[in-house]
Amino acid sequence: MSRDRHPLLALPAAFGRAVLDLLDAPMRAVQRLVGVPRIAWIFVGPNLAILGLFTFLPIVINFYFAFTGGVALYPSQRPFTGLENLETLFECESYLDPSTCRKDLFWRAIFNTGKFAVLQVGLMVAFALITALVLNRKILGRGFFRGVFFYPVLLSPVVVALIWKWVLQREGVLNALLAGAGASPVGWLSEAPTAFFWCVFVSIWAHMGFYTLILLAGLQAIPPDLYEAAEMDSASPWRRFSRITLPLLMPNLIVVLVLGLIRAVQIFDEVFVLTGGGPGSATTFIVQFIYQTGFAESIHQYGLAAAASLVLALSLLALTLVQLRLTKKGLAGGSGRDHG
Amino acid sequence: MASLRLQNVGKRYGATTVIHSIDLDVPDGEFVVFVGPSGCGKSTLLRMIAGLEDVTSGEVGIDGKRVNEISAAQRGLAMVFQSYALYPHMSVYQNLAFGLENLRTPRVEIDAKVQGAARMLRLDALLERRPTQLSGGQRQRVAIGRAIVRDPTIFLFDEPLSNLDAELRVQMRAEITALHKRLGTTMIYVTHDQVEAMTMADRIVVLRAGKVEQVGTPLELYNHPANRFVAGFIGSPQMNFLNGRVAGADAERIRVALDAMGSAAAEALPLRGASASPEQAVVLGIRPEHIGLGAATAPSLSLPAKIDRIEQLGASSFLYCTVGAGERLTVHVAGQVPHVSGETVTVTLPVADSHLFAATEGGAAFPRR
Amino acid sequence: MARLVAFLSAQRGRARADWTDWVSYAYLLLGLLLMFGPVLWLVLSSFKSPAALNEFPPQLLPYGQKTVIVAGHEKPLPLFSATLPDGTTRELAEVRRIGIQATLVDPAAPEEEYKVNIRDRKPVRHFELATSNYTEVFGKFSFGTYLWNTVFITVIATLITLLFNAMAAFALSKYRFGGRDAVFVLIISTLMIPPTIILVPNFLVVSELGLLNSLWGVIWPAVATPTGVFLLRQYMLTIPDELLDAARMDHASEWRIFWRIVLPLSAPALAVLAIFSVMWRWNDFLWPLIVLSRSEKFTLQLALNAFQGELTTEWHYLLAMTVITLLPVTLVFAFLQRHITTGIASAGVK
Repeated sequence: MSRDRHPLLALPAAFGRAVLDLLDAPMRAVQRLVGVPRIAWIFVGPNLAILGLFTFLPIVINFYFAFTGGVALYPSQRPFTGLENLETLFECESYLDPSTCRKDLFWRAIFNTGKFAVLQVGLMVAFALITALVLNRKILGRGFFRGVFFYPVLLSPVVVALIWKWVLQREGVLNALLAGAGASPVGWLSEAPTAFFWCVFVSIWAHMGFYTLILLAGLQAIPPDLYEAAEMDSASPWRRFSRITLPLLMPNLIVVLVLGLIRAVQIFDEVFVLTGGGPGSATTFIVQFIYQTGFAESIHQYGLAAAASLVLALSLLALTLVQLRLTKKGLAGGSGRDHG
Repeated sequence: MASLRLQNVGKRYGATTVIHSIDLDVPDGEFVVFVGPSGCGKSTLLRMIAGLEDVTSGEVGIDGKRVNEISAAQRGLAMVFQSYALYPHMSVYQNLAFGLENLRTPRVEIDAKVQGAARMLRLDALLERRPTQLSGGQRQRVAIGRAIVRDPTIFLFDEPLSNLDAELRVQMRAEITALHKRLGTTMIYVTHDQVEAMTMADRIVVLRAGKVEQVGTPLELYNHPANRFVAGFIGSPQMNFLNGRVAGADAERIRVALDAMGSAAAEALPLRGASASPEQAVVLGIRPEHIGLGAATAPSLSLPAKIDRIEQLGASSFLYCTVGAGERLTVHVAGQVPHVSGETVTVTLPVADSHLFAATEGGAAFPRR
Repeated sequence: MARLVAFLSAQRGRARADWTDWVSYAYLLLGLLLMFGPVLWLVLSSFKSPAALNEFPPQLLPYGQKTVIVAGHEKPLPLFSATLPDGTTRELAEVRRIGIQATLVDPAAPEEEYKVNIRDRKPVRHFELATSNYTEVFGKFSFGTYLWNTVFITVIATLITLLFNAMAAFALSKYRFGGRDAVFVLIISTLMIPPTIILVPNFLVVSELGLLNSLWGVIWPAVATPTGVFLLRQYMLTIPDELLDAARMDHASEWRIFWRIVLPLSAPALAVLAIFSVMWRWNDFLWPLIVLSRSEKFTLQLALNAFQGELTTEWHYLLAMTVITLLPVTLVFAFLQRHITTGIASAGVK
């Protein structure tokens, strides 16, 4: 079977044969022991083991951490404190003013994350939709431009942050362009409102392409003769968009919005490298709070970090449930296709 | 209600010409069918009338007014698409009302028009359903309803019946014809099915490769096809064609020597032969239903035919024969025949029903006296 | 060219180019500028010398000062355009500089010396790539180590991911066993459990396994990707079961069936997963940040992050390291991009 393949595959093929021969005998023995149907458990075993060890077990342990105190890492050394960690997090005179809270960084992070999620997802989905609409037309070089918007999605968040950090330097190219136009240079990342803006911008820059492709696929699934029928029905371009395109694209839009929100709420990598959470705590988001509390400060407060993780997990769960509910409604409503 | 005039209308995509300079006059209220094989440009022509395609050359006029620059949305026409193009996320009612909403018609008027169209097409029970919940025939009627509701000056149909099964097609043909009688609006109907064309049209436009081959009433096309293509396209089963040469011709008649007969025929064809030259290669056309068996009752060409296959349907019979050196001949006679396959019979080709075409690319017909 | 015009004019059967088409092209060009521009700027900047990087406003292209070999001097001397006391401007090489006074000579006639104020001379520049940024980066910092760490993690994790996920997908697609659907749902459900909410307990687990500060501590938690299992299972479902039955009749063990039949036939899906996995592992940040605290174990991403604190003045190295870090992904993109564009081009020709 592997004989008539490309000569370049000779080495992996030889490797494959070696592994096969090595493991064949023990695997046959296991097979005799367990029988063919149950050997499936052997195959699925390693994956399950990893998941069990690094996903399911930690979920359970997380609760334990959240409800215990002290600074030890090992659970046996942690005294049970019940809801104390959660109470600490939620201790506030006024929930609307983070500075009145005991853990004001936590609340600032919550507010920042909320603001960020709404802004970033709203703008990103809007731009993704516009881009998808443009790319859906008969444009020369469509495939090329599709790739153009998708490229930043492939870059690592650290690289993305550094690319923009370099542009936004006090003596960077953006300020140079401003100076050339007669304006004065701005400390983009050292002022709170602009730093926040750039976090939103960079995040949109890095992820928009992915959602554009999803929306583009949705647009291309709309039969073109619906638009012609609408033209014959005297529909203006705006009505064609609002009464045909938008309703039929709704399932994709919902998916994109919820996926975007789930990712936005967990934002960390690129903003951590771009601003480090600053200036002050202006761009500190919830995951950074967890990281800092649990790992970066001199005293690792595992309990608080775990409790904060629970809060994050709950909001993600809520978002996922919302998506499930909306998709069910959306599917029943809009995506029925007329097959003539 | 409006008339349509096409003057020198042509369509080019880059270097490729798809429609070559078409002239056509459709008077108010006529049911015109564009018919032709796939790729002949009939759909393109329809879409140019609708405004969905640009006119590269020539002029499209509706009610005497040039409409080339007017967008599809503004021309006041309505189109029934092959795939129906119903809005899947809207109910039948909303599908019907959409066009009127775009024209900002008052709610009350919309409701009246929609209910009226629904009643006419027996859709009143289905108004709240979605297109996916309807059968093919019901969807078709909604597509027609959507066109009716807008009170267009011209109805355009783009192969609307091709997605239906045979039985439904017959039914819908009758419904569309009845609709035309009732509304009296000009209708332009595109199909590749000549049976639809023959049964529904006031006039037929036969198209091939972007050119008009002939325009005429169904019977005109049947009785007096202008060239070999139209002769072979109209009529089912297809007309028989036999090769031959001109043996002698004058202004009143043409004598032919069919390859299958060996020598010149005794009887001459009553056709204008002034343009015929001696020994010119020609093609004789005769419809299967005009061929007789045995002794001739009218002036005819007779020749022997070997029966390859017989299909007896009771009310009529089809004989598939070979004549001469292998040319095929189909005969369609009424009633039942006592012949069997393998037999050789004499077939008679009445000269009154025979057509003669030049054996050239265009295959123009020699006209009747 | 005629085809270009024909293609352009074939938009929706309209011959005129709409104003909407012009706006679309403008938008796409703006997008091109915005998406590629910053990356290009990064690459250009990475080839500039520290001196050039300190300039404000910065030049577009990397420039270096011209040097010239002058008789009687070992090393090449920097070239300046100097305004002499008599008013003329000449290109002269600088021999030495003391304070604000520079001593310049004509390269052709090096005996005669000119003393010029440093304010009266300007460096002569030419296009020059400071490739030393790249070469020095490997020497001065353990960049080679970081590269090795990242490559090690990426390759090993991808291999293990492919193996484990393929085995699981094989079991889930080709076998009927009690609990199969439950296992599948279980695996897919982990898609909803991002690592960010189990950082602390994962840290404990990794620590207990003795994998803190080890590359394996980054590898093992990452290999059981539910996306990979889903992808491979979808593909394996299309492999006819008869093939497996035939192999069983041929006395093949289940392992042999997996290894010699199912795995080779799943090559396309494996390739897709491999590309994803390489991307995910190469770009990993948060988890390695937590697990790896000793700098000799850093991956490229961690190194970049750590060095931007220390090296706020040594951007020329940081930029070079960043470019090296984004190179593999860019090459993959450039290679796949051709497939995308040729696909579109052939459709346009038809």
